[in-house]
Amino acid sequence: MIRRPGDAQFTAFVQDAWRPLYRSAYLLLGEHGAAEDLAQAALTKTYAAWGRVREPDAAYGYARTVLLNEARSLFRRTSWRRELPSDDLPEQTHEPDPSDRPAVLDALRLLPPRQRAVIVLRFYEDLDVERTADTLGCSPGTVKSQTSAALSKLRRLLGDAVLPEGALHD
Amino acid sequence: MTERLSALLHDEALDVPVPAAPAEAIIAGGRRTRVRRRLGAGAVSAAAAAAVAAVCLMPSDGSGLRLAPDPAAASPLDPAGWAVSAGSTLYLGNGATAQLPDKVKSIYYTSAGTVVRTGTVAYTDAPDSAYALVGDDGRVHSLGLALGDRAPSTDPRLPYLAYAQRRGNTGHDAWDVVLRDVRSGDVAVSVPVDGSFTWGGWNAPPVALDGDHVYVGLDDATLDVDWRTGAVSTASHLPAARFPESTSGRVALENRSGQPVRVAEVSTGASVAELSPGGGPGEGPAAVSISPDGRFALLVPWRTCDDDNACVYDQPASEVLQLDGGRSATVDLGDQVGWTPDGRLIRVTGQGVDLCSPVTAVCDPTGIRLGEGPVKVGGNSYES
Repeated sequence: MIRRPGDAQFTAFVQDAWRPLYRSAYLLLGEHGAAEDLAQAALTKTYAAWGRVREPDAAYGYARTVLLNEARSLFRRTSWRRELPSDDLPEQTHEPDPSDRPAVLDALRLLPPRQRAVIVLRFYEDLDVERTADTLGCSPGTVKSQTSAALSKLRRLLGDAVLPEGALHD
Repeated sequence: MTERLSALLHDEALDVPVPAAPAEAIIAGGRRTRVRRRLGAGAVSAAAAAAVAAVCLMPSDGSGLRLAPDPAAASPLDPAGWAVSAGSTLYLGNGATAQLPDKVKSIYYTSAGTVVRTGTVAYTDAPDSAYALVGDDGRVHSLGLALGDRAPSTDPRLPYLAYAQRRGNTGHDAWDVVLRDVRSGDVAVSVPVDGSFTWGGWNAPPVALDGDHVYVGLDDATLDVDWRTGAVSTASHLPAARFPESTSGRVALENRSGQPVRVAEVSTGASVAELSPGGGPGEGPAAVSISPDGRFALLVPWRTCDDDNACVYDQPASEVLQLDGGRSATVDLGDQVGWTPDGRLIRVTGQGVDLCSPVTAVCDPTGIRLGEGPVKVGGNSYES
């Protein structure tokens, strides 16, 4: 017998889960409309599969798994592999003023989609290399090389205080 | 060393503006999902067109072309030239089977037989990744190719495996587009192209072989290489910095959200069919798969995968469009579908393999019973 949540029960769950799921989706995809679609899709599937959520306390973990699963489906579509190149980083002719440096999320927007996703999955979602590779549909070697390339770019943008020398490799 | 980055990410994420939770829409969507799963596929309506960015590069006159003395002419599509695999066993459409030394990871149709990529894991850059040609008699001929992390391509009318490789020690800006004859293992064609490739994680830009053309996905343009003449131009109707696709001269184009919105002619950009991208998350097709002969387009539903990578379609059936007739049929998808070279659907359900008419949606069993192991179906791209 598949349990279905009552509307009031599920609405309360959505109110709790929406913000963290939306933030994860936004960091992964970098675009509000797409983030809303992804978070909404994750919660829609959570509703539809509520019978698999054995404990109400586990519902958020389930929804987060569904969100990463949805993201994995998205990443594995050919269209997502068709990444846009990052904007070229400007050549630095002088030591940058630390106060001019962008926030981390601004810097994240300058990364190509796969590199951005690698950073978010590894350092926000705290996934290991293998799980990140599985989510993105690429090899662990590619995750490592993309992580290294992304950290190099972020270090140029954010400076040593955020990413000290030596933080560029696993 | 990355603790500070992680902490800042979490801190700044708290400042991301979050819209109100659409609880009612989510609950309504969840209910619709249940209903759709019971009823099957919905209808597809027309709408929407996508703008296609055009870019220009300096054309090449083909002076760098290296061409074998007798390049292959295009062969007719072989109706029996399809294949499905389970584990390390390849099942050919003519009834023959072949045992590969490792699991089949990808299937490529050629006019000389079926080329497979094998290995223990799906990644193209796995150290044991290998390519072999399986003839119509089921005999396996290793191609002795170590392509590494590259995404090759074939055309079922030609005996070639196409890929790009870096030209010398030239960084990320100079490439050779190579067509390797799978019958001999020799390089039949090599065409130099120039352009930056940094957008993807492969060792060389991905390519798509389609007739006399090889499309090369570079940062600033997708190049159109006429491999018979060596002429290189910009494929002005294919987007730059993308995994190039062209199937019998046709391509599925997507909007900025990645939703497929139309099928177009690669050469002119003219629309062949327009699609509804759907009104919300999970709505509309996840992708459009064009048959190798270019006559049909399958609207591929979204799939849900579990932690073991076992995936099921969110809808049990979907529509196949006749691109030149405007008609459509709804086909039950089973577990997985692919294409024969001549444009019939291959459907795998459990261990059974059916062939389905994309016109009538009638499916007939082939008599093949798949063995154990992960299933791959010809006519799909398994590159990642």
